[in-house]
Amino acid sequence: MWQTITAASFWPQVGKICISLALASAFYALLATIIGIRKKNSFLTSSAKRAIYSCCILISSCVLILWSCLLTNNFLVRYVYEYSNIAMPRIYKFTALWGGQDGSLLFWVWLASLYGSAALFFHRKSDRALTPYMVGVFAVIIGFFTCLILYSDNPFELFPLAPADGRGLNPLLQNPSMAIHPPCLYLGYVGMSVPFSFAIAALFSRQLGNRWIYASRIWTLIAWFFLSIGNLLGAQWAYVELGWGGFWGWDPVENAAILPWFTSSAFLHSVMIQEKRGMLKLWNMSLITISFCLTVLGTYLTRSGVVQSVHSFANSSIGYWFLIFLIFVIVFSAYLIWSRRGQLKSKNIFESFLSKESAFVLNNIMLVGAAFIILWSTLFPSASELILGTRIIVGPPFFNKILAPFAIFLLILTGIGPVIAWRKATRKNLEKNFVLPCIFGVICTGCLALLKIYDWYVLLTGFGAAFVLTTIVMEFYRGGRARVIAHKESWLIALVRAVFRNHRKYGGYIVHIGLVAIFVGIAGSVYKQVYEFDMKKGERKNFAGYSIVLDHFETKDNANQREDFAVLDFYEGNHLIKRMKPARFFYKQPEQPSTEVDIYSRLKEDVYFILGSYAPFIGKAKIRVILQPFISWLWIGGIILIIGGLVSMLPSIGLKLDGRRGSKRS
Amino acid sequence: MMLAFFTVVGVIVLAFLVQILWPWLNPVPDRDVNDQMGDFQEYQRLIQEREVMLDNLKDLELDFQMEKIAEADYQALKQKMTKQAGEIFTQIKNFESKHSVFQSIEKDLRSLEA
Repeated sequence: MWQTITAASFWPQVGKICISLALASAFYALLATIIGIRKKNSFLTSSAKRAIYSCCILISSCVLILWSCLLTNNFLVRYVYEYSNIAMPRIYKFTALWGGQDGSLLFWVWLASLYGSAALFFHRKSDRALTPYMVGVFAVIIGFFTCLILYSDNPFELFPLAPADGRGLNPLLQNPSMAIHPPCLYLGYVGMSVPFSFAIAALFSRQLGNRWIYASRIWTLIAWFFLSIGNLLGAQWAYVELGWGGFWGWDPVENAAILPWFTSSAFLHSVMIQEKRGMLKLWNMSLITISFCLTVLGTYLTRSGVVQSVHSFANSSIGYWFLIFLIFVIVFSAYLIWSRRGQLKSKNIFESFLSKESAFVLNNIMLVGAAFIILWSTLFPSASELILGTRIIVGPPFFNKILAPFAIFLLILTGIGPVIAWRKATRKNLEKNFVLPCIFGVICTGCLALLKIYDWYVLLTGFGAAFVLTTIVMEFYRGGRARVIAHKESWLIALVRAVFRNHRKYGGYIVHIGLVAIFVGIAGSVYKQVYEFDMKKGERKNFAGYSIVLDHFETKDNANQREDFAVLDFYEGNHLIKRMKPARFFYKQPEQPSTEVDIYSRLKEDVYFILGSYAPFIGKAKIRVILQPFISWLWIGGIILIIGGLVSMLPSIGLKLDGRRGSKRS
Repeated sequence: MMLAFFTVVGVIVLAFLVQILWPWLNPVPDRDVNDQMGDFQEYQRLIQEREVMLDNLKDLELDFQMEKIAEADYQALKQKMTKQAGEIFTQIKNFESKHSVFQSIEKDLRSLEA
């Protein structure tokens, strides 16, 4: 294990010691918290909590050491050699931390320790009874990951002699989105461990009231928020970097990333029923456990080689360990939930099918149903190979076809949920709230039909979008009007106060507006048009009212890559709009080509240019052009969704985390 | 270099031990798990229930103002929820008065000891 300590090996060796100490600390935390709870020894439980803080400090030190090795080109460290090189831009040396398996495991456990420490710190007063159990959950999670790092994929492994240069990061990962996408996704994935720890703590301590729900709600929202950003950035990366003109290919790893988003979205809705009506306790407990299990499953799928994906790491032995961990979590949580089923019975019953409760339950059925279909279809090729010996591939058309009805139904429920009353909606209430949205929905559908759009999915999306937007506008209007009447405020002040006094509710509405825009963006892809041209220098090609002229070729060379551009003049009619430069990059280390698209983006549509094969010396190139209607709305919707998420959660931070709200009122 | 390495490792291990052994090194009575834990949790539960009841009443009022619920249903639900809220308020009041008695007895005992 020990090599002679040199200047280059000094800090990596310290890193190894820190990760070993973190494992010891996690093991100690588990042991101390179990004994402390059993013996009711506050010294032991307090010491266990401090051991989790220690894990956080030690793992943070490891991350800083690895970053320093990457930035200083310390190729004595095997990980630095494999995922970095001298010529690579500094930002990608920084992001190489999560570019490989060993580093991403370290990054994962670092986030888990940060989340764990933050949760234990913020809830140290308000949830004293739950924190010792939470320490146990975090000790197991941190212990499992540090074990993997230490015994299987240690990023501080050293070569006997340092190579002159490294192999460099995969060119596909050398993209600005990749600097933010994985951390966001990991923040979402790992963030699920906090509500899971609350759920397990509530089950163990038999404190199955609403407290764990209040405490974990903000953490679920944070995890959901980062999962949303992570998935949107992933879609954006696929659109810009993979050069196929799509944003979601139903790749197994993409599916694994979206699964916990579906279940956590379901949880964020159903949790309101438990808060308001004391119902669905068992369901909420199961949902949060499923969400956490899905994050572990996602990691297993990415690292085991079970599924084939552009995003997955090569076949790795740690996949089996993840499977064992996943089975352990499922069996353990299922046993706990089953043993406490008596205490998880609902206080109330559904009073009417026409109520907000029913709308939320339907929403949950749709979200969890969609998640189940995606999960089954993702695992089906591997299952068929295992059982039949033949890999039966389930492609994007299958996913699109089977999930479209779920999506439409969910969109319409997005409009019903906000305006229908709790407990029991009257006929008058239904008429008052749904007539106007239905009228706008029908008008929008009619307009689409007049534009000769007859695809049922697009028509129903048009209906749903108008329906939902009308209900949300009505909600904002009525909320403002209620304040204007009750408090005699001006309209603007009334609206702002209504939003900030009910930030969770109105933040949710803003998220719904974002979702409508995302649906519009997705519906636009139905009318995607693809053109392929073999072009000569100076030649003009026409398509859909536009034309392009291949003007010339350009080449740029730097230490990291050679960049070949085809320069195209892009016209609408005879008016020159923009000079487009689709390109092919050739990375030198590792030697790998990459397609760099150029996009002319407008609200109406994107015009997407791809350079195929080309021969600059004879002035010929193959150009592919894709017209993507309304795709910009997908990204705009994403931004609105993020704003809505922030409105929902920002005021809660600091106000609710330590339970001060209750004492304020008292 | 070896000496520097073992010094750094020694400092890290020592800091780690101090961190986890701190509750014994600095034995301040830990408020996390105290004798009145059960009482505190019960009080906290009541406070939270009151908060939920107030939120629910606020939502009911808003639903009525926004004409989402019929007047008859509104009146019936309001009456039911106000009664439930009243019960919780009474429980909190009882708890607080009982708690203040505990506190004053404890205070008297301490002054006698002094």
